[in-house]
Amino acid sequence: MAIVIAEHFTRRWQAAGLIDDNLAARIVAWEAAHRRPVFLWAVAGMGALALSLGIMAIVGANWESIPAWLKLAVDLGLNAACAVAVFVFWRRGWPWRRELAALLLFGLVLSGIALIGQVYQLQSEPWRALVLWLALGTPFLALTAYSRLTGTIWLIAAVTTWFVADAPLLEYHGSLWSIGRELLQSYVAACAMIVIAILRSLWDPARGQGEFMSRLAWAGLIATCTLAVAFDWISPRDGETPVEPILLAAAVSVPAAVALWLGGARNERTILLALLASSLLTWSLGLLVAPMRGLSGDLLRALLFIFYWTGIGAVAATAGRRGLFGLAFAMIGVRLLILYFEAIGGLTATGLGLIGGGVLCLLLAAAGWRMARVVPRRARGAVT
Amino acid sequence: MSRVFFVAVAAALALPVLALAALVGQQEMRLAHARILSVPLTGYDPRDLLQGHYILAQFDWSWEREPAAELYGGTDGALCVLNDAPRPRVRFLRGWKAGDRTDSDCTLIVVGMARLGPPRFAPRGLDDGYGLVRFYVPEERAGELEKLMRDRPGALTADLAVRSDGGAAIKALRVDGNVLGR
Repeated sequence: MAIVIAEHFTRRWQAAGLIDDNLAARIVAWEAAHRRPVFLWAVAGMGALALSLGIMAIVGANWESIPAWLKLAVDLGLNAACAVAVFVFWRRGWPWRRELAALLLFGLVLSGIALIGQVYQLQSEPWRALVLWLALGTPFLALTAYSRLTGTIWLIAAVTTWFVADAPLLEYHGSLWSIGRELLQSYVAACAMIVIAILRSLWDPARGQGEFMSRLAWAGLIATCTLAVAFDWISPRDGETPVEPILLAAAVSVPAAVALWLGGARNERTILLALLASSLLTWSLGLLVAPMRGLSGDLLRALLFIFYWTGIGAVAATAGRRGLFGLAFAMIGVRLLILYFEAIGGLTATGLGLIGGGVLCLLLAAAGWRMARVVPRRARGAVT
Repeated sequence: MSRVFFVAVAAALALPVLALAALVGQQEMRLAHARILSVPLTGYDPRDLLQGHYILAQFDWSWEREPAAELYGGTDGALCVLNDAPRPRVRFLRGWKAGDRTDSDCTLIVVGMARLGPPRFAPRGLDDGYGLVRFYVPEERAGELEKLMRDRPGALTADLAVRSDGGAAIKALRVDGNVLGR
């Protein structure tokens, strides 16, 4: 696909007389030689995932006709064979095979844990199995797998484990998680992932993977803070104040801030720290205004939402990230439109609200169009 | 590439295989040094994401007297097994811990939690939180076994491997005395 797009633009520029035939041919040849088959990666990744899930489903079927010792022996043998394959591919420097074999091994380890639990009728909670899976899988993935796909799958596995492990968290300190538990879990997970992603990107072979994981972690943090001020869905009991959750969120923001300062890109340190601080502030205020119901609560949450996304827009403009800048603009527009509907009632008022909201969106789009032109592009190297 | 890194990669790849083998070894050890107690089961066909189909059952103990347990929630303690045939005759020892004295007529001690309404007891580590225990069964037989448990009480039994410290593990599930799936 990338080569098709590159050729399309090259032919367009050639037709417009911007580049000559010779240069166009060289560009197309270069793109063909340096293509990155994203779709093949995606298909191969899906294949490895389907294979792992298939093995898991076969384990789940619990075949009584096959003796337990044989099932365990085959499973251990498959794990050992896959581990050897990862080692060989890693030694020979075959990235495709290495990444896929590592993903397959990751899946096989989980199948092995499930099989042992089934054969020995172990009753432990699923989170224990998932924690053991991560403990066994993370070291070899960290050392041998450097692709974005593997990083994404590991990140999903880690975050899933964190959310599944809510029972022991509630047992450990119930009151801490009593208000907006999912929001607190999401905030903690996002901050932890920012730290992990920055540490990962410090190692040269995994730099791209770390940077991609960092983007996912930031997306998670922004989504969490957006949700905290989007609706009145948090229901604290009378008299409950979210002091403990806010203190924990502040505490987990510190290592994220330190990691950003020490390991983040030098030109983006300050703005990312500002984004982290505004995220913490928005998230905390979202919890503090949670008990407020009715129009005043909706207005306050809407204002927080708009302030937060205005801040994201400002960060995006400073960093030259036009896509994020456009998204911030769209989010603010949608929220203003929703605010219109929240504030009005009746058919005539709804009609007027729709007209007013439509005009507002058109004005916002016009303003965004003008502002996007003045946002500088992010410097990426030779061509900007 | 440094030798240390090479060794680290090899060790990281060997870790899951060795850990899984160690888990198998640990479970075999637990079963090898335990005494077997056969307990009838009384009784749905839910599925666990990882381990497949299971039936949910409770152990059908023969109570000497109703356990002195809290009405809501459970009470920690141990089961004193007086005799084990055909249905284990048992007495609940409220608050019993490893090292405590046991009644002289106890042939075996199983540590766990008792609950009321109806009276039930599940060994520690096997309890699903409601006094019930999960038994992983073959996909195609889950419904049949569930029905059997309802229609013919006692047809399904579990072999509990009980260690000297009172800890218990499920060694086998039996249908009319025949071991299922092992």
